[in-house]
Amino acid sequence: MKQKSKKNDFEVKLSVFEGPIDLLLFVVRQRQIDFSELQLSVIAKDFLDYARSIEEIDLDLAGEVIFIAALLLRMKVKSLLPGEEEEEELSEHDIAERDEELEEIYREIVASARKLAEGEKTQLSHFRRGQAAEPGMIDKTEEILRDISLVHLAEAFRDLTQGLEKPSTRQLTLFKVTVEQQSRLILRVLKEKEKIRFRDLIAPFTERIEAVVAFLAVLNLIHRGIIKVRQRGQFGAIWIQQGEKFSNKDSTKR
Amino acid sequence: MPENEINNDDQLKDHHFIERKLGILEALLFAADEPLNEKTIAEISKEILEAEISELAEKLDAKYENNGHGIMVQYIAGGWRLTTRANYAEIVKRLLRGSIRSRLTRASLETVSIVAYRQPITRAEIEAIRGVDPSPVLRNLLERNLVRITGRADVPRRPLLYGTTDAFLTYFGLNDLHSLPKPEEILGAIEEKGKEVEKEGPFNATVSD
Repeated sequence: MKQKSKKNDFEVKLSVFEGPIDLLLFVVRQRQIDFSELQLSVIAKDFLDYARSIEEIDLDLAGEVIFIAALLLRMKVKSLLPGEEEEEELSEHDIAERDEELEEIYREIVASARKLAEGEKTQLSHFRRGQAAEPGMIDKTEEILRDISLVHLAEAFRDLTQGLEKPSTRQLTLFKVTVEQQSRLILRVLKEKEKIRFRDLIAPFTERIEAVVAFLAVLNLIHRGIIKVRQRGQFGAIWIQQGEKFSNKDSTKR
Repeated sequence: MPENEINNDDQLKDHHFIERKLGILEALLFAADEPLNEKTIAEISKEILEAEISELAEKLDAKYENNGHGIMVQYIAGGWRLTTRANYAEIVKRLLRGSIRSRLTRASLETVSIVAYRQPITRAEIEAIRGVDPSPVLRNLLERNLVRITGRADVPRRPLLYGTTDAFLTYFGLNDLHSLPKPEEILGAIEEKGKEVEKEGPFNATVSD
Protein backbone atom coordinates (compact mmCIF):
# COMPACT_ATOMS: atom_id res chain seq x y z
CA MET A 1 0.00 0.00 0.00
CA LYS A 2 1.44 3.30 -1.04
CA GLN A 3 1.60 5.91 1.62
CA LYS A 4 3.03 9.31 2.17
CA SER A 5 6.27 9.09 4.05
CA LYS A 6 6.86 10.98 7.21
CA LYS A 7 10.15 11.97 8.60
CA ASN A 8 12.25 9.12 10.02
CA ASP A 9 10.21 6.62 8.12
CA PHE A 10 13.28 5.29 6.33
CA GLU A 11 15.55 3.10 8.42
CA VAL A 12 19.00 1.81 7.72
CA LYS A 13 19.28 -1.94 8.04
CA LEU A 14 22.80 -3.33 8.18
CA SER A 15 24.28 -6.21 10.06
CA VAL A 16 26.06 -3.80 12.37
CA PHE A 17 23.38 -1.17 12.71
CA GLU A 18 19.65 -0.63 12.47
CA GLY A 19 18.01 2.71 12.81
CA PRO A 20 17.59 6.15 11.27
CA ILE A 21 20.42 7.41 9.16
CA ASP A 22 21.27 10.42 11.26
CA LEU A 23 21.83 8.13 14.20
CA LEU A 24 24.12 6.06 11.99
CA LEU A 25 26.18 9.15 11.27
CA PHE A 26 26.44 9.87 14.95
CA VAL A 27 27.55 6.36 15.74
CA VAL A 28 30.11 6.40 12.94
CA ARG A 29 31.52 9.67 14.18
CA GLN A 30 31.89 8.14 17.61
CA ARG A 31 34.02 5.49 15.92
CA GLN A 32 31.76 2.75 17.11
CA ILE A 33 31.54 1.31 13.62
CA ASP A 34 34.44 0.31 11.44
CA PHE A 35 34.29 1.67 7.91
CA SER A 36 34.87 -1.69 6.39
CA GLU A 37 31.57 -2.81 7.89
CA LEU A 38 29.70 0.18 6.56
CA GLN A 39 28.02 -1.00 3.41
CA LEU A 40 26.93 2.17 1.70
CA SER A 41 25.77 0.26 -1.35
CA VAL A 42 23.21 -1.56 0.78
CA ILE A 43 21.95 1.69 2.24
CA ALA A 44 21.69 3.21 -1.21
CA LYS A 45 19.78 0.30 -2.61
CA ASP A 46 17.41 0.16 0.32
CA PHE A 47 16.67 3.82 0.02
CA LEU A 48 15.98 3.57 -3.68
CA ASP A 49 13.62 0.66 -3.09
CA TYR A 50 11.91 2.63 -0.39
CA ALA A 51 11.55 5.70 -2.58
CA ARG A 52 9.95 3.66 -5.33
CA SER A 53 7.47 2.03 -3.01
CA ILE A 54 5.84 5.16 -1.69
CA GLU A 55 3.60 7.60 -3.46
CA GLU A 56 4.89 10.88 -2.15
CA ILE A 57 8.31 11.24 -0.69
CA ASP A 58 9.16 13.75 1.94
CA LEU A 59 11.78 15.95 0.36
CA ASP A 60 13.31 16.77 3.69
CA LEU A 61 13.83 13.12 4.37
CA ALA A 62 15.22 12.45 0.93
CA GLY A 63 17.58 15.37 1.19
CA GLU A 64 18.77 14.30 4.60
CA VAL A 65 19.38 10.73 3.53
CA ILE A 66 21.34 11.76 0.47
CA PHE A 67 23.34 14.30 2.40
CA ILE A 68 24.28 11.93 5.18
CA ALA A 69 25.04 9.14 2.76
CA ALA A 70 27.39 11.48 0.93
CA LEU A 71 29.08 12.41 4.20
CA LEU A 72 29.55 8.78 5.09
CA LEU A 73 30.91 8.06 1.65
CA ARG A 74 33.44 10.81 1.93
CA MET A 75 34.50 9.68 5.37
CA LYS A 76 34.90 6.15 4.17
CA VAL A 77 36.92 7.18 1.15
CA LYS A 78 39.15 9.36 3.28
CA SER A 79 39.83 6.45 5.56
CA LEU A 80 41.07 4.43 2.61
CA LEU A 81 43.52 6.93 1.27
CA PRO A 82 46.94 7.77 2.71
CA GLY A 83 47.14 10.82 4.91
CA GLU A 84 47.32 14.42 3.75
CA GLU A 85 50.27 16.41 5.07
CA GLU A 86 53.15 18.55 3.89
CA GLU A 87 55.75 16.50 2.09
CA GLU A 88 58.91 16.23 4.13
CA GLU A 89 62.14 17.00 2.36
CA LEU A 90 64.99 15.53 4.39
CA SER A 91 65.34 11.81 4.60
CA GLU A 92 68.72 11.20 6.15
CA HIS A 93 68.03 12.68 9.57
CA ASP A 94 65.96 9.77 10.65
CA ILE A 95 68.44 7.03 10.01
CA ALA A 96 69.96 7.17 13.50
CA GLU A 97 68.04 4.71 15.65
CA ARG A 98 67.28 1.98 13.19
CA ASP A 99 68.23 -1.58 12.64
CA GLU A 100 71.59 -2.00 10.96
CA GLU A 101 70.25 -4.32 8.35
CA LEU A 102 67.50 -1.97 7.50
CA GLU A 103 70.08 0.74 7.29
CA GLU A 104 72.02 -1.20 4.75
CA ILE A 105 68.90 -1.79 2.74
CA TYR A 106 68.16 1.86 3.01
CA ARG A 107 71.55 2.81 1.65
CA GLU A 108 71.02 0.59 -1.32
CA ILE A 109 67.65 2.15 -1.84
CA VAL A 110 69.28 5.55 -1.85
CA ALA A 111 71.73 4.36 -4.50
CA SER A 112 69.00 2.95 -6.67
CA ALA A 113 66.97 6.08 -6.19
CA ARG A 114 69.84 8.06 -7.66
CA LYS A 115 69.96 5.74 -10.64
CA LEU A 116 66.25 6.10 -11.10
CA ALA A 117 66.65 9.85 -11.03
CA GLU A 118 69.02 9.56 -13.97
CA GLY A 119 66.47 7.57 -15.88
CA GLU A 120 63.86 10.17 -15.01
CA LYS A 121 66.07 12.93 -16.34
CA THR A 122 66.69 11.15 -19.65
CA GLN A 123 63.01 10.51 -20.10
CA LEU A 124 62.21 14.14 -19.53
CA SER A 125 63.83 14.99 -22.84
CA HIS A 126 61.38 12.80 -24.74
CA PHE A 127 57.84 13.84 -25.43
CA ARG A 128 54.89 11.86 -26.67
CA ARG A 129 52.41 12.94 -29.27
CA GLY A 130 49.71 15.03 -27.68
CA GLN A 131 51.56 15.48 -24.43
CA ALA A 132 50.90 19.21 -24.51
CA ALA A 133 47.18 18.58 -24.28
CA GLU A 134 47.38 16.37 -21.23
CA PRO A 135 45.59 17.68 -18.17
CA GLY A 136 46.56 16.54 -14.73
CA MET A 137 50.22 16.95 -15.51
CA ILE A 138 50.22 20.12 -13.54
CA ASP A 139 51.68 20.11 -10.09
CA LYS A 140 49.89 21.69 -7.18
CA THR A 141 52.19 24.66 -7.09
CA GLU A 142 51.70 25.35 -10.75
CA GLU A 143 48.00 24.81 -10.45
CA ILE A 144 47.81 27.98 -8.42
CA LEU A 145 48.84 29.95 -11.47
CA ARG A 146 46.42 28.25 -13.77
CA ASP A 147 43.07 29.96 -13.78
CA ILE A 148 44.25 33.51 -13.75
CA SER A 149 42.13 35.95 -15.63
CA LEU A 150 42.46 39.64 -16.15
CA VAL A 151 40.11 40.21 -13.24
CA HIS A 152 42.39 38.33 -10.87
CA LEU A 153 45.38 40.27 -12.03
CA ALA A 154 43.56 43.52 -11.61
CA GLU A 155 42.50 42.56 -8.12
CA ALA A 156 45.99 41.52 -7.23
CA PHE A 157 47.34 44.82 -8.48
CA ARG A 158 44.75 46.71 -6.54
CA ASP A 159 45.56 44.82 -3.37
CA LEU A 160 49.21 45.52 -3.86
CA THR A 161 48.84 49.20 -4.41
CA GLN A 162 46.25 49.68 -1.73
CA GLY A 163 48.81 49.41 0.98
CA LEU A 164 51.17 51.82 -0.67
CA GLU A 165 51.64 55.29 0.76
CA LYS A 166 50.39 58.01 -1.50
CA PRO A 167 53.36 60.16 -2.40
CA SER A 168 51.66 63.47 -1.63
CA THR A 169 48.48 64.64 -0.05
CA ARG A 170 46.05 66.92 -1.75
CA GLN A 171 44.44 69.83 -0.08
CA LEU A 172 40.73 69.48 -0.06
CA THR A 173 38.66 72.50 0.78
CA LEU A 174 35.14 72.02 1.84
CA PHE A 175 33.09 74.25 -0.33
CA LYS A 176 29.78 74.96 1.15
CA VAL A 177 27.07 76.47 -0.94
CA THR A 178 23.36 76.36 -0.32
CA VAL A 179 20.30 76.78 -2.44
CA GLU A 180 19.37 79.74 -0.28
CA GLN A 181 22.65 81.46 -0.97
CA GLN A 182 22.33 80.97 -4.68
CA SER A 183 18.70 82.07 -4.61
CA ARG A 184 19.64 85.30 -2.95
CA LEU A 185 22.39 85.83 -5.45
CA ILE A 186 20.04 85.25 -8.38
CA LEU A 187 17.48 87.63 -7.00
CA ARG A 188 20.11 90.28 -6.35
CA VAL A 189 21.27 89.98 -9.90
CA LEU A 190 17.78 90.10 -11.26
CA LYS A 191 17.04 93.18 -9.25
CA GLU A 192 19.76 94.95 -11.10
CA LYS A 193 19.52 93.41 -14.49
CA GLU A 194 15.91 92.34 -14.96
CA LYS A 195 17.04 89.38 -16.99
CA ILE A 196 20.20 87.42 -17.40
CA ARG A 197 21.37 84.40 -19.28
CA PHE A 198 22.00 81.38 -17.11
CA ARG A 199 25.35 81.05 -18.72
CA ASP A 200 26.31 84.52 -17.65
CA LEU A 201 24.96 83.91 -14.19
CA ILE A 202 27.28 81.04 -13.53
CA ALA A 203 30.27 82.48 -15.40
CA PRO A 204 32.00 83.96 -12.36
CA PHE A 205 31.77 80.69 -10.41
CA THR A 206 35.00 78.82 -9.81
CA GLU A 207 33.62 75.56 -8.52
CA ARG A 208 31.21 73.39 -10.40
CA ILE A 209 29.15 72.86 -7.28
CA GLU A 210 28.25 76.53 -7.31
CA ALA A 211 26.73 76.22 -10.76
CA VAL A 212 24.89 73.07 -9.84
CA VAL A 213 23.34 74.57 -6.78
CA ALA A 214 22.55 77.73 -8.73
CA PHE A 215 20.61 75.60 -11.17
CA LEU A 216 18.71 74.05 -8.31
CA ALA A 217 17.97 77.50 -6.99
CA VAL A 218 16.64 78.51 -10.37
CA LEU A 219 14.28 75.55 -10.38
CA ASN A 220 13.16 76.34 -6.93
CA LEU A 221 12.50 79.96 -7.77
CA ILE A 222 10.59 79.01 -10.87
CA HIS A 223 8.50 76.69 -8.81
CA ARG A 224 7.66 79.46 -6.44
CA GLY A 225 6.82 81.80 -9.29
CA ILE A 226 9.45 84.31 -8.28
CA ILE A 227 11.33 84.07 -11.51
CA LYS A 228 10.55 83.13 -15.07
CA VAL A 229 12.68 81.26 -17.50
CA ARG A 230 12.66 81.52 -21.25
CA GLN A 231 14.57 79.54 -23.79
CA ARG A 232 15.03 80.46 -27.40
CA GLY A 233 14.52 77.36 -29.41
CA GLN A 234 15.58 73.90 -28.33
CA PHE A 235 19.17 74.61 -27.53
CA GLY A 236 19.08 78.32 -27.22
CA ALA A 237 20.27 80.36 -24.31
CA ILE A 238 18.28 80.18 -21.12
CA TRP A 239 17.11 83.57 -19.96
CA ILE A 240 16.14 84.12 -16.39
CA GLN A 241 13.92 87.06 -15.57
CA GLN A 242 11.75 88.33 -12.86
CA GLY A 243 8.59 86.38 -12.35
CA GLU A 244 5.17 87.42 -11.27
CA LYS A 245 5.84 87.09 -7.64
CA PHE A 246 9.12 88.86 -7.87
CA SER A 247 9.41 91.70 -5.50
CA ASN A 248 12.32 93.67 -4.26
CA LYS A 249 11.69 92.39 -0.82
CA ASP A 250 12.55 88.82 -1.77
CA SER A 251 16.12 89.48 -2.59
CA THR A 252 16.90 90.16 0.99
CA LYS A 253 14.59 87.73 2.66
CA ARG A 254 15.49 84.25 1.46
CA MET B 1 70.04 -9.96 -68.32
CA PRO B 2 66.76 -11.70 -67.52
CA GLU B 3 68.24 -12.84 -64.22
CA ASN B 4 69.12 -9.33 -63.26
CA GLU B 5 65.67 -8.15 -64.16
CA ILE B 6 64.12 -10.82 -62.01
CA ASN B 7 66.39 -9.85 -59.16
CA ASN B 8 65.47 -6.24 -59.58
CA ASP B 9 61.80 -7.09 -59.60
CA ASP B 10 62.19 -9.13 -56.44
CA GLN B 11 64.13 -6.37 -54.85
CA LEU B 12 61.48 -3.92 -55.86
CA LYS B 13 58.80 -6.17 -54.41
CA ASP B 14 60.73 -6.60 -51.20
CA HIS B 15 61.28 -2.92 -51.07
CA HIS B 16 57.59 -2.29 -51.43
CA PHE B 17 56.75 -4.84 -48.79
CA ILE B 18 59.16 -3.29 -46.39
CA GLU B 19 58.01 0.21 -47.14
CA ARG B 20 54.47 -0.85 -46.53
CA LYS B 21 55.33 -2.60 -43.30
CA LEU B 22 57.25 0.40 -42.11
CA GLY B 23 54.25 2.50 -42.96
CA ILE B 24 51.96 0.24 -40.99
CA LEU B 25 54.26 0.26 -38.01
CA GLU B 26 54.63 4.00 -38.18
CA ALA B 27 50.87 4.53 -38.39
CA LEU B 28 50.22 2.25 -35.45
CA LEU B 29 52.87 3.83 -33.28
CA PHE B 30 51.64 7.29 -34.13
CA ALA B 31 48.06 6.53 -33.25
CA ALA B 32 48.78 4.58 -30.06
CA ASP B 33 48.82 6.34 -26.72
CA GLU B 34 51.08 3.86 -25.00
CA PRO B 35 54.00 1.66 -26.05
CA LEU B 36 52.95 -1.23 -28.27
CA ASN B 37 54.57 -4.62 -27.87
CA GLU B 38 55.21 -7.21 -30.59
CA LYS B 39 52.18 -9.23 -29.71
CA THR B 40 49.82 -6.30 -30.11
CA ILE B 41 51.33 -5.11 -33.36
CA ALA B 42 51.31 -8.57 -34.91
CA GLU B 43 47.73 -9.14 -33.82
CA ILE B 44 46.51 -5.97 -35.41
CA SER B 45 48.50 -6.17 -38.60
CA LYS B 46 48.31 -9.54 -40.29
CA GLU B 47 51.11 -8.62 -42.65
CA ILE B 48 53.74 -8.20 -39.98
CA LEU B 49 55.20 -11.12 -38.08
CA GLU B 50 56.11 -10.85 -34.46
CA ALA B 51 59.65 -11.86 -35.20
CA GLU B 52 60.36 -9.06 -37.63
CA ILE B 53 58.97 -6.21 -35.60
CA SER B 54 62.14 -5.50 -33.73
CA GLU B 55 64.08 -5.14 -36.94
CA LEU B 56 61.36 -3.04 -38.52
CA ALA B 57 61.38 -0.72 -35.58
CA GLU B 58 65.09 -0.28 -35.90
CA LYS B 59 64.75 0.40 -39.62
CA LEU B 60 62.10 2.98 -38.94
CA ASP B 61 64.24 4.66 -36.35
CA ALA B 62 67.21 4.63 -38.70
CA LYS B 63 65.06 6.17 -41.39
CA TYR B 64 64.11 8.98 -39.04
CA GLU B 65 67.65 9.56 -37.97
CA ASN B 66 69.11 9.52 -41.45
CA ASN B 67 66.59 12.00 -42.69
CA GLY B 68 66.98 14.40 -39.84
CA HIS B 69 63.55 13.82 -38.34
CA GLY B 70 62.62 15.30 -35.01
CA ILE B 71 61.06 12.07 -33.80
CA MET B 72 62.43 8.65 -33.05
CA VAL B 73 61.30 5.13 -32.18
CA GLN B 74 61.89 4.28 -28.55
CA TYR B 75 61.75 0.89 -26.90
CA ILE B 76 60.34 1.31 -23.45
CA ALA B 77 58.15 -0.58 -20.98
CA GLY B 78 58.29 -3.63 -23.16
CA GLY B 79 57.07 -1.98 -26.33
CA TRP B 80 57.73 0.71 -28.91
CA ARG B 81 56.53 4.21 -29.14
CA LEU B 82 57.29 7.43 -31.00
CA THR B 83 58.85 10.24 -29.08
CA THR B 84 60.68 13.44 -29.86
CA ARG B 85 64.42 13.38 -30.17
CA ALA B 86 66.38 14.50 -27.15
CA ASN B 87 68.14 17.28 -28.98
CA TYR B 88 64.83 19.04 -29.53
CA ALA B 89 63.82 18.75 -25.90
CA GLU B 90 64.41 22.38 -24.99
CA ILE B 91 62.21 23.66 -27.75
CA VAL B 92 59.42 21.19 -27.17
CA LYS B 93 59.50 22.10 -23.52
CA ARG B 94 58.40 25.58 -24.42
CA LEU B 95 55.33 24.15 -26.05
CA LEU B 96 54.50 22.31 -22.89
CA ARG B 97 55.39 25.20 -20.64
CA GLY B 98 53.17 25.08 -17.60
CA SER B 99 52.14 21.48 -17.96
CA ILE B 100 55.36 19.74 -17.08
CA ARG B 101 55.67 18.37 -13.62
CA SER B 102 58.61 19.11 -11.44
CA ARG B 103 60.98 16.25 -10.86
CA LEU B 104 60.58 13.90 -7.96
CA THR B 105 62.08 14.79 -4.63
CA ARG B 106 64.62 12.52 -3.06
CA ALA B 107 62.00 11.33 -0.59
CA SER B 108 59.71 10.41 -3.47
CA LEU B 109 62.48 8.68 -5.37
CA GLU B 110 63.45 6.57 -2.38
CA THR B 111 59.86 5.70 -1.58
CA VAL B 112 59.05 4.70 -5.12
CA SER B 113 62.24 2.65 -5.19
CA ILE B 114 61.16 0.72 -2.16
CA VAL B 115 57.76 0.09 -3.65
CA ALA B 116 59.30 -0.97 -6.94
CA TYR B 117 61.59 -3.53 -5.40
CA ARG B 118 59.36 -4.88 -2.73
CA GLN B 119 55.89 -4.74 -4.24
CA PRO B 120 53.35 -5.39 -3.10
CA ILE B 121 54.26 -3.60 0.10
CA THR B 122 52.38 -1.90 2.91
CA ARG B 123 52.81 1.61 4.21
CA ALA B 124 54.19 0.30 7.48
CA GLU B 125 56.86 -1.75 5.75
CA ILE B 126 57.93 1.28 3.74
CA GLU B 127 58.14 3.26 6.94
CA ALA B 128 60.29 0.57 8.53
CA ILE B 129 62.87 0.97 5.79
CA ARG B 130 62.87 4.73 5.38
CA GLY B 131 62.22 5.58 8.98
CA VAL B 132 59.59 8.18 8.07
CA ASP B 133 55.88 7.99 7.50
CA PRO B 134 55.51 7.66 3.72
CA SER B 135 51.86 8.72 3.60
CA PRO B 136 52.26 12.17 2.05
CA VAL B 137 54.76 10.85 -0.47
CA LEU B 138 52.52 7.94 -1.33
CA ARG B 139 49.69 10.33 -1.96
CA ASN B 140 51.78 12.28 -4.43
CA LEU B 141 53.00 9.13 -6.14
CA LEU B 142 49.42 7.91 -6.43
CA GLU B 143 48.44 11.20 -7.97
CA ARG B 144 51.23 10.98 -10.51
CA ASN B 145 50.16 7.47 -11.32
CA LEU B 146 53.56 6.01 -10.51
CA VAL B 147 52.20 3.89 -7.71
CA ARG B 148 48.88 2.13 -7.30
CA ILE B 149 46.96 0.22 -4.68
CA THR B 150 47.08 -3.44 -5.52
CA GLY B 151 45.02 -4.88 -2.71
CA ARG B 152 45.06 -5.52 1.01
CA ALA B 153 47.56 -7.48 3.07
CA ASP B 154 46.34 -10.69 4.66
CA VAL B 155 47.27 -9.65 8.18
CA PRO B 156 45.29 -8.10 11.02
CA ARG B 157 43.86 -4.64 10.20
CA ARG B 158 44.28 -5.51 6.52
CA PRO B 159 46.46 -2.59 5.48
CA LEU B 160 46.67 -1.45 1.86
CA LEU B 161 49.28 -2.85 -0.48
CA TYR B 162 51.15 -0.68 -2.97
CA GLY B 163 52.80 -1.51 -6.26
CA THR B 164 54.15 0.34 -9.28
CA THR B 165 52.22 1.14 -12.43
CA ASP B 166 53.02 0.82 -16.12
CA ALA B 167 53.46 4.55 -16.21
CA PHE B 168 56.22 4.05 -13.64
CA LEU B 169 58.22 2.17 -16.26
CA THR B 170 57.88 4.80 -18.94
CA TYR B 171 58.54 7.57 -16.47
CA PHE B 172 61.92 6.15 -15.58
CA GLY B 173 62.72 4.75 -18.99
CA LEU B 174 62.58 1.12 -17.88
CA ASN B 175 61.54 -1.87 -19.89
CA ASP B 176 60.28 -3.91 -17.01
CA LEU B 177 60.73 -4.36 -13.30
CA HIS B 178 63.77 -6.53 -13.88
CA SER B 179 65.54 -3.58 -15.43
CA LEU B 180 65.60 -1.82 -12.09
CA PRO B 181 69.13 -0.95 -11.07
CA LYS B 182 70.97 -3.57 -9.00
CA PRO B 183 67.98 -5.87 -8.63
CA GLU B 184 69.49 -9.04 -7.18
CA GLU B 185 71.29 -7.83 -4.11
CA ILE B 186 68.60 -5.40 -3.13
CA LEU B 187 65.79 -7.82 -3.78
CA GLY B 188 67.45 -10.54 -1.79
CA ALA B 189 68.25 -8.37 1.21
CA ILE B 190 64.79 -6.84 1.29
CA GLU B 191 63.04 -10.17 0.91
CA GLU B 192 64.79 -11.48 3.96
CA LYS B 193 64.07 -8.41 5.98
CA GLY B 194 60.56 -8.19 4.61
CA LYS B 195 59.69 -11.67 5.83
CA GLU B 196 60.82 -10.70 9.30
CA VAL B 197 58.77 -7.53 9.14
CA GLU B 198 55.62 -9.43 8.27
CA LYS B 199 56.12 -11.90 11.06
CA GLU B 200 56.67 -9.27 13.68
CA GLY B 201 53.38 -7.63 12.85
CA PRO B 202 52.32 -4.00 12.48
CA PHE B 203 54.83 -1.37 13.39
CA ASN B 204 52.57 1.35 14.54
CA ALA B 205 49.92 1.28 17.17
CA THR B 206 48.31 4.25 15.49
CA VAL B 207 47.02 3.17 12.13
CA SER B 208 45.13 6.28 11.31
CA ASP B 209 45.65 6.37 7.57
